[in-house]
Amino acid sequence: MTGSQARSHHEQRAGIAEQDLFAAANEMIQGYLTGRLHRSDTGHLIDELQRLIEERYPNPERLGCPNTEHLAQLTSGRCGCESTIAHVKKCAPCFRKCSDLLHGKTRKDSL
Amino acid sequence: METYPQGWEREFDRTGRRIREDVREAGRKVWAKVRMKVRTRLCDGEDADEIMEAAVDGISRYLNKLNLPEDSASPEGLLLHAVRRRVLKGWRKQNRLVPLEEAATLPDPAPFDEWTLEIERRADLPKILRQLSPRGCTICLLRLEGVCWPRIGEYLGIPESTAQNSFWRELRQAQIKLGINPRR
Repeated sequence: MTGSQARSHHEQRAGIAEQDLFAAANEMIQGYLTGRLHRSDTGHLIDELQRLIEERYPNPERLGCPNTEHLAQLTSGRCGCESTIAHVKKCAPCFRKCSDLLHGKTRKDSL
Repeated sequence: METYPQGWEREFDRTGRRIREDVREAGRKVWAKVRMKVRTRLCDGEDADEIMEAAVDGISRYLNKLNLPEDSASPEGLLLHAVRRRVLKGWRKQNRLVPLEEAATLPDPAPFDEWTLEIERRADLPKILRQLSPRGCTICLLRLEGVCWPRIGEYLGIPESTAQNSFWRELRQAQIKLGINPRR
């Protein structure tokens, strides 16, 4: 646990440090984006993430977007580049593209 | 900083069976932590490689036995648990060799217990996250992004205290549902 920081009564009652929960959520998001974790194994987390990204980061001008090949490398787990993941988490078109790539991959895998 | 490949990082185990890539990937992620903990607990970093090798082989075999496809499991928790058991075994073995007259100098086992509990707590977090409602996930994601509770309350159209209380209540309900004791 993140022991050095003072913990709120909520954290103490649940025995969970917020920071640890965030780290786990981040890990799940990263696992999803790199194709290690199926969307259905993330509960509502990825659905809500996508909804929030669409709402808060529409990025219609596609500012700073990596190319499709780069996103394909990310979703196939060949590149876990932090900066790409950070971008995808704040760019609706890139997140959609990753989801499409992952969905395609899942469908292909299940055939 | 030293990363990988390490001695445990192999494609096949000693019996020639292929080691699952998801387990190896999990091993790479937890390796630094495992090495540090083994060095701390057993006072010998050399053991870490051997412990990791046995844990990776064991978990790979276990997941294969369950017929779980490689992208369906997140084996870090299992791996850490296997490592913990092996470290505990090594630690007990070491302490058996301490002469009785030096029993007073035995290290306090409490820090070890604390560490094992921490691993278990962390392994429970993804399970808890999977139980959250859409609203619980939204709150978690907004907090993850650094949004403060008053703004979350505004976003959801509810008082800040309601947002905070309902989120933590949901976490505790998930713990109850999963049989996790927060006070362990």
